[in-house]
Amino acid sequence: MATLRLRPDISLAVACLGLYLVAAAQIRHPQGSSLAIAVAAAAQPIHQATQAAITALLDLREGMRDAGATRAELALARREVEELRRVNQMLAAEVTLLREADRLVATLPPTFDRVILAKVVARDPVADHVATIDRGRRHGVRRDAPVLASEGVVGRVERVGEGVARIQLLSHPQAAAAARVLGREQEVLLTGGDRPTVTGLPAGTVLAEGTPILTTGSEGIYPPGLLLGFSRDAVVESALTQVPIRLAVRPAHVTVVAVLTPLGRDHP
Amino acid sequence: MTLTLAFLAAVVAHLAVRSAPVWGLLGATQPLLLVVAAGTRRFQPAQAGWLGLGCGLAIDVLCGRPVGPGGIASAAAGAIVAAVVARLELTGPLFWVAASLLVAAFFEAFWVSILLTLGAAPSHAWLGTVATVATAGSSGLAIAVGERAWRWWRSPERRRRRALRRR
Repeated sequence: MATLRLRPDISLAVACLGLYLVAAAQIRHPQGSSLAIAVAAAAQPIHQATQAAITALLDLREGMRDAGATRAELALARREVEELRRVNQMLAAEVTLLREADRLVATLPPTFDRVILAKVVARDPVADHVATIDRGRRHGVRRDAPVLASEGVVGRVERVGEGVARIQLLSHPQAAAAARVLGREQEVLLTGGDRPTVTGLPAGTVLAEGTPILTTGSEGIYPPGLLLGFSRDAVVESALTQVPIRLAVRPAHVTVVAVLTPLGRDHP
Repeated sequence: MTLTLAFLAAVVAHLAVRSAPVWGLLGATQPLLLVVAAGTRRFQPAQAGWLGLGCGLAIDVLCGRPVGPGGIASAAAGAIVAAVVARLELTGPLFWVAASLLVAAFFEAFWVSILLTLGAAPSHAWLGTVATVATAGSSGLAIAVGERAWRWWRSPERRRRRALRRR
């Protein structure tokens, strides 16, 4: 029995030739075949599925874009809330400072023509006994100008910068002021340091706890009548006896001060 | 088996890329030519020609063209490219890019020639030919990248690294 075995290349050529003839026949007599109709019907669900998939992808992309925009808006809102909270805190601090300044202004002596209210921006009441305020030469602050808080004398201006000034507190070891004990005419000397004292009281003087110590103004810095501090219980044995006092102002708690510019004094 | 699955996937892709929402230029893509290109690496020229014949006929049917010219063109393209691939020993990404480009170019050339000899007008002119070749080349490049990524993913070196990292 003979078997017909064609080589693949020859059979391929034969098949192509046959197809060529078939194609020629189709082109000569063009008409829609049932195969084309079947292909179109089979392609329909694939087209629909593709369309659905692409629509879903577009929806997903749109949704992700919306979610991204929402997240961005949320982040922006959070930042704004944070900023508002910060501003609110600053405003609250400003209100506190203004109230402090209001109290301070009410206690100022009338002998000064100009009062510069300043905020304490830095302080070292323990080691260097200084404080820094946010007003300087540009605002009219002058060296040796007295600095007051609502409770009493804080100190004097030690150094003046263009926009800031440094205050030497009364607790500074080199601070001193002419003073008097309330109800007495005798002038005494108040000296600073870790334990501020007054000296110069006549022997035999007995001071009760809490007796006010006021300025006299004779040293040329502080105006008279300002509260420096309060005496502690003491019995003066001689004029050299150092009577410990408690300063009226606690620098650690001062936030607003008044720098006085005395009448007729405008030297740098 | 792999080629059968690839053939079916290509048929679906052929219909999918011609859907209305897909970018119009992708409508020129002939995914079945990539099956022909894939066959040129593993088959002799004559066998690749048979594979091309089948894919070309499918293209004709799916595109609604006269059945035959596409099969002949694809068979010739597959046989020639298989010979070229074997001669130049193309492998890796270069094989995919070169084979897909050559198959598409030969297919278009033979297809147009056959239609002209039959006295029929091709369904597209130069722009369509260029689009077909370009999309086939781009698809080949994409497959090359995917194949490289797949090999890297399944490479023993990567497994060893993962195992070392777990320790």
